[in-house]
Amino acid sequence: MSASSDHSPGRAPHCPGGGLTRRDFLRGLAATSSVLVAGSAQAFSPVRPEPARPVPRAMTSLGLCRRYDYVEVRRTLGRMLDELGDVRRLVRRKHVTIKVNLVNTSAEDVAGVPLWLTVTVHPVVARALGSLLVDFGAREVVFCDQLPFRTPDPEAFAGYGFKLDEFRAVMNGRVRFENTRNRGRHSSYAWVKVPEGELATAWEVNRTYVDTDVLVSLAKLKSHVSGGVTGALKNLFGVPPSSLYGEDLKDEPDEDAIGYRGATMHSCVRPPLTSATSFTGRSVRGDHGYNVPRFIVDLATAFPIHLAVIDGISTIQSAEGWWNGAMVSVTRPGVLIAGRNPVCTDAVAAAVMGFQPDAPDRAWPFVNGTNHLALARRRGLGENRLDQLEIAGVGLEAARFEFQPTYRRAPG
Amino acid sequence: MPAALFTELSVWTAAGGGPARTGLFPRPVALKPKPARQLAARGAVQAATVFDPAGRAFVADMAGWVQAWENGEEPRWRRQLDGAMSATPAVDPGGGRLFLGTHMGSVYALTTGDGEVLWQQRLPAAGDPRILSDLLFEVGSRRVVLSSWGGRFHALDADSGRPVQEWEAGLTPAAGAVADSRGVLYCLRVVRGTGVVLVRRTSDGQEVELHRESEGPRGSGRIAVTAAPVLDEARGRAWFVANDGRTAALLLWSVGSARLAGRWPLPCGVQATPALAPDGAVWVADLAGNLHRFTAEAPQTQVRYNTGAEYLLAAPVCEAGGRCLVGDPLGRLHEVEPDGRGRVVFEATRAFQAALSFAPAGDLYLPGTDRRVYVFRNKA
Repeated sequence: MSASSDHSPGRAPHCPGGGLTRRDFLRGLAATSSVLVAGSAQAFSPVRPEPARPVPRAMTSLGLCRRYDYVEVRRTLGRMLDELGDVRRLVRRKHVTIKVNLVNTSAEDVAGVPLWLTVTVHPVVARALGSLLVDFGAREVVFCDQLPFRTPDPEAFAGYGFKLDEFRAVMNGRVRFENTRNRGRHSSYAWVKVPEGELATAWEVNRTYVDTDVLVSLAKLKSHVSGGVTGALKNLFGVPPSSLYGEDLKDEPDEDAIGYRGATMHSCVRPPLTSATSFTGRSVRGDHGYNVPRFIVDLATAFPIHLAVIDGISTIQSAEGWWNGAMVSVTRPGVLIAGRNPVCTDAVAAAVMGFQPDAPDRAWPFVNGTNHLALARRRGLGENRLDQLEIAGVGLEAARFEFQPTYRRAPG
Repeated sequence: MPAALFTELSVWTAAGGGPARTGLFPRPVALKPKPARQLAARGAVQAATVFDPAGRAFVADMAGWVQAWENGEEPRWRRQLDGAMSATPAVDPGGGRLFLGTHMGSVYALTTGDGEVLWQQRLPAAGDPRILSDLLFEVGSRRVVLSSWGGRFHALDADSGRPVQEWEAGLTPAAGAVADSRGVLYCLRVVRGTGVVLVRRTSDGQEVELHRESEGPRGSGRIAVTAAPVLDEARGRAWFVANDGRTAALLLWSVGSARLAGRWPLPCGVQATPALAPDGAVWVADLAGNLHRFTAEAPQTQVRYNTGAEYLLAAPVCEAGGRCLVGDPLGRLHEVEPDGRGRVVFEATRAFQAALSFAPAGDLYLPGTDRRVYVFRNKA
């Protein structure tokens, strides 16, 4: 998967993190512990030095959009993608995979307000983006996320307002939905290595995330209790499948699993049931604020995002989901955010929310842990310092819309 | 209405007007269709504008700034506090003081004349100290009352900021307390395993649980208490909203007979404090974009106005002519007649999420998330 790779059914595209044979993979694990251990964050994590080479930077565009009106969203988003300069070239004749930010149920709401106005990407934004990418020449666009349903994929997506017929109608039929909670329609999983991975050395995932030329992260603009903010990077947390990483697994992988990854990737009280050990054991048991940001960066390293788009029209603040109960409240920033580098894009998104994207760890908005945007910069993934970022569209001042930050967890 | 009381009610010193948070302005208002002024804030404005008797307007914003304007025209002073503000401040109309609470858990007293800090008090909290509840200045006991996410209501001495009393505020409290003319407080809290509780509390700390509304199938952790009670002291009523995580009920407590006197189910939750109408009816803005009008005397009669927005976050207000005004998240201001006929009278570029308020002369102040407060002149 790279911008220049060719994709054809008989030939697997180049994997961004590097394809991985099982032998390579096991060899790479020799130096790592397979045991999850407890301990202080400081003991395991000396601050990485700044990368020797300049970190990548790319323009981020900001647009104002008050309502989920298809024409209005598409017009705004189209203008923003044009401002980024090379999106048409990026997707022309390419197979595009869009990891969309849905969540672990479609049967919930926030005080009666539907999920797509609060927690998940609104289908109108997804449809508008899909339509634009097809107009730009994309050969096929696959919307995917792991959804906790065993029903056929279109049915699983329908609960989030994603109606396949409506997408087909505006995308010349060049669209598919894939639920990546397990192996899905593929005969095997893909291993994707994490260069210099901190908590994970590789990911075993549904091949949808690998058999593609272009990966788009379509996220929701929200606060996040463990990550401070959630955007294009955090959206990748949905890539590891429930069948291998889910907390409803017993002692072996299960293609029917639909559980979340809380035990494996938040509290880290148990390892995933991947076909080989891939977690380094350098997580901190129970410390979500330590583990989640590092897994985010380990995912972003393995799955480079070519285009980040964030739905910030209507959302929630203080936390990320309905499961945070009364701590979240509905808010209406009326913004769309798009960029070619997910770290830059998320940093701009944090600034739109009124936060300092390079804030120190354990300071607002990253009050419960590590600033994953700064961590991503130190890993060489992209720039998060606001004065280094180029912003197009309406500009930061016009787009700024302060959020209530996530809440500080009580000690213990 | 006695002249003194009329004057007092005309000065909106707190969210909803005053300690009873009726949301009812005691004079007729006829708005000019275009804003006469736009007050520039430093951040999105999610708190209502409050006033002192001289007509000075105070705007607190999400960038942590508070600013004062003379008669909605000339900037008087501004000051940055230690955190963002979404709780509406409160004014001590006789003492020339402005009280504010921040998301960092600090309470401030500033002079209304020049914005000097008289005192600052940080509220104790094991976890998150943010203050989301609109502040209350209780004149009789000279206390400032508010809650924080530390889970406690706090009564601070208005002169020094010294804590005087504290009591249980329940889970993630965000609703302001209200007070009657004798200084008796009414507040709401969510208690795990119980649900929403309406509490009456006297200034000497005696507390009575007036009503418990069961928590519903989703449990108390999903219940937001953001809408304050509304006291209609003249009729001996307290209106309040009990959410259950998905739906809600509007409840009417009879102060005189000490019993629940009415209940109206709502199809979804409510975030905003209701507003009284001059005839005793109450307007409720819900999270489905509807504005409902209920009356105690005719419980079956219900007026509903659909704003066209998916939800409403801002509290409505009402004027003496009976018209209700509310801002919506699409950036529109609606004016709704008592019979439910309404229209959009103004449109801005971004959402309205904070309650409206009236200056003493009846000018309407509409706080916007576009970092502006729109001022509409009253031509009545």
